[in-house]
Amino acid sequence: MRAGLAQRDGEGMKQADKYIFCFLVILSLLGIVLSNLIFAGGAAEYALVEVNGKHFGTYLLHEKDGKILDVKTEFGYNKIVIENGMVRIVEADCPDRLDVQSGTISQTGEMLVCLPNRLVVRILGEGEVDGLAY
Amino acid sequence: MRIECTGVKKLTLLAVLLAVGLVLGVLEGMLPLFAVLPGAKLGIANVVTMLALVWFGPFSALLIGVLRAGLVGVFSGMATMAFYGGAGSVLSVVAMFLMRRFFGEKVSLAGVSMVGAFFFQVGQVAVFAAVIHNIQMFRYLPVLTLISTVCGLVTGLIAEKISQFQITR
Repeated sequence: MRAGLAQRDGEGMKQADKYIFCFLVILSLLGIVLSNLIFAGGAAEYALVEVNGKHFGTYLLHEKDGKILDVKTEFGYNKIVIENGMVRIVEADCPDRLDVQSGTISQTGEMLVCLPNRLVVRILGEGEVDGLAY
Repeated sequence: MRIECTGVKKLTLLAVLLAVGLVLGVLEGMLPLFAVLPGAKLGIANVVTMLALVWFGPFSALLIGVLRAGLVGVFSGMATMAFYGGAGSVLSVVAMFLMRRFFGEKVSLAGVSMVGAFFFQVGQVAVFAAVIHNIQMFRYLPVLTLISTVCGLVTGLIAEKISQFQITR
């Protein structure tokens, strides 16, 4: 019965599998380092809200009383709270509500994403706002 | 063990594979990993796609992969996820097929699975970025591929073990 197994060589890993594993891990780590270098930009200062790839608004992270944003668009509704330099989405009408579960962001480059409502909240660093083309 | 598998038997086994993949897919969607990093998952359901690839070839695997993504989307109540998973699935099945075609002797299903998982994430993130019109989504990609490589290794070893059962077509 096991005769047929002879040409299907193997149980477990082969040498090439290990190379593939190492290659993919190094590639991913390199990607993480590179994307952090590319997207890094100074101390966190603004929260940028984009809907469907278009600019919705830019808001200062450190405002005295904080800020509550109601983002109502054709794609859906999200309620964003900016408070003490931290941003979170507290309410959303999307089915999965992954954006609400994502918690808080505060570092430059961090993102909150609500795919169903096509909403992205991104934290920008010092001086980054001038460089944006709308 | 060699099992003869043609006609109705083949249809039945493919249906069972799809059913198992569906249950595994819905279950792994409930894992907390998914909530922490949307798009990341164990990929254990991919075992089923790999088995279809080994036993019945690329077209059956593609069918299983796409139907599984669609059905998991419907059954877990996130129909939109079906699109992202479906795009990833197609790319991943093609990648896995090519891996087996050209490096079949050198790599086991573990290697095939890791490459498949990598391309699953590439496809998925590409659709994320296209839907949301935001190229920034690609920032997630390296993190996702790092996780997917480790998960792909584990699921690949499982598939390798199961694929020891052979099938005569």
